Amino acid sequence: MGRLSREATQLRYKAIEKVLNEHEVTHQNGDINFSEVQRILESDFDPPVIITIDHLSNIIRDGRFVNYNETMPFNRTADKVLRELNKSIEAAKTISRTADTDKVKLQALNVMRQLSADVLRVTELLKSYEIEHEVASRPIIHLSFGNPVVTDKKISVGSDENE
Amino acid sequence: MSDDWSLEGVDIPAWGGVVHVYTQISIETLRQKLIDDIYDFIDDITIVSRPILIKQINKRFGYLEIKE
Repeated sequence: MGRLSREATQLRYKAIEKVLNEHEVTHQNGDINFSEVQRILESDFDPPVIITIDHLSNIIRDGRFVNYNETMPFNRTADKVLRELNKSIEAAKTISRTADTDKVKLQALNVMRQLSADVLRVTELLKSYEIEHEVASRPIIHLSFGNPVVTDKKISVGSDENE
Repeated sequence: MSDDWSLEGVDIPAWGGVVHVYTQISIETLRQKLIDDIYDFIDDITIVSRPILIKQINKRFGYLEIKE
């Protein structure tokens, strides 16, 4: 299939956004039910929006979702998200250090772990975006489990293997 | 977005005064703060809808059902 025009891409994004906003399209565990989104896109729109599951999940999950109106490019949004995630992780870290019960401590640690994974994911997406859009290289905000570290080198995850 | 990240907790008596400890309410405050942030900047982003993002946040905090 050839490359979609900009207008066609925007219409497709709008359709996906409409489905996500107006339908219950998540599994019980909170994950997006891509098959259901795909089914609604094909059945509720005229002409139907035909899209593969892989493409759909890429659009929704892998960062291309941001700002098809281009009021704010992905890298700016990603920066905001990273900032908020890092603040949340710091807060969870504080809670885990002085929690009143083991249960709360464990929950705070779990939140830290999950949000840290989000930080890594957003950071990787940001790097991909910058490469794809040839954005000038700039410092990457990277998390060293609780302490945000700004580095001008490649992403490192607990070891020097990527240095 | 707000930079106010004060977390609720409780003061418990200790030698020479009180110690501030964090509780389940602190976790709840943090979760609510993240959700508030979503409401603040959701207009800036598209496709990933507010309910989806809130579900994802709730999932991070161990909740499976929507709690707004």
